[in-house]
Amino acid sequence: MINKILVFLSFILVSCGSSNILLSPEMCASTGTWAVDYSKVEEQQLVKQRGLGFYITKKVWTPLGLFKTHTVYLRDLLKLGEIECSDVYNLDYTVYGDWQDALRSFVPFMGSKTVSISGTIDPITKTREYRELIRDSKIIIYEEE
Amino acid sequence: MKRFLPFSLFFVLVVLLFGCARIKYTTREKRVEIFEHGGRNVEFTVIGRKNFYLWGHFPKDSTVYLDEVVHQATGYFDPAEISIEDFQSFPQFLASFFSIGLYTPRSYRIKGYAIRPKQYDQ
Repeated sequence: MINKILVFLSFILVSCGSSNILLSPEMCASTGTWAVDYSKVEEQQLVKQRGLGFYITKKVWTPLGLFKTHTVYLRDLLKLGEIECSDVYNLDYTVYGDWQDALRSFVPFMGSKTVSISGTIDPITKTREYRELIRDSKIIIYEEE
Repeated sequence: MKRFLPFSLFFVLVVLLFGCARIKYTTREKRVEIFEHGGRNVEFTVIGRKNFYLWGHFPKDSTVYLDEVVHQATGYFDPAEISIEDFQSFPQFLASFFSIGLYTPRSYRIKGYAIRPKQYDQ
């Protein structure tokens, strides 16, 4: 029984642990920065009021993960949340494995990891879009001071 | 059936309890630009390691502060266009394998562009 347990644990370990994921910012032109840095109170309020925050996760298969690098493009990750690179204000990045990855790793020679990015959309860009929307629809809005 | 049941219970337990390591990449104080817009005069590579124990359960969350790591390792500042590689090297894999996951080290490789201070040129 102990032998079976050891083999089983080793198998999971081999499968889930052996992943090699590269996050590339290639072709992701942005004026944004790393980190969710809500330094200004006004920014915090803006994020809450206008729903500017985002959280995107993706399950990544890593075949022969110990020997082969799997590249994930930041641009493609953002597209999953229908966000352009130019819209990003700030973000951070997390790599982890959960029970689903452990299950997925039972496929021979395949590893699995979850990558996630969270952050905020550029309030200035959004405000500009908002203004254009208002201008095009010719609706006048009185903003409270 | 009797032989299959303990094994399937064990399977469920392991999958539920299984926790791979979690590494978060962010910055602590200084702004790190996602894209390089010019001005950075040097390319850098930093390799670091994070140790996890008991199948990645301890510590559950581990954070890499990009600004700190780059500055401490190279002395450069204002990094940008950072690419992050999260991996396990072969010796680390062997360490994990032979410890049955009790010790699970992982590595990261950070590449990007930064500003090299003028005193380095002298």
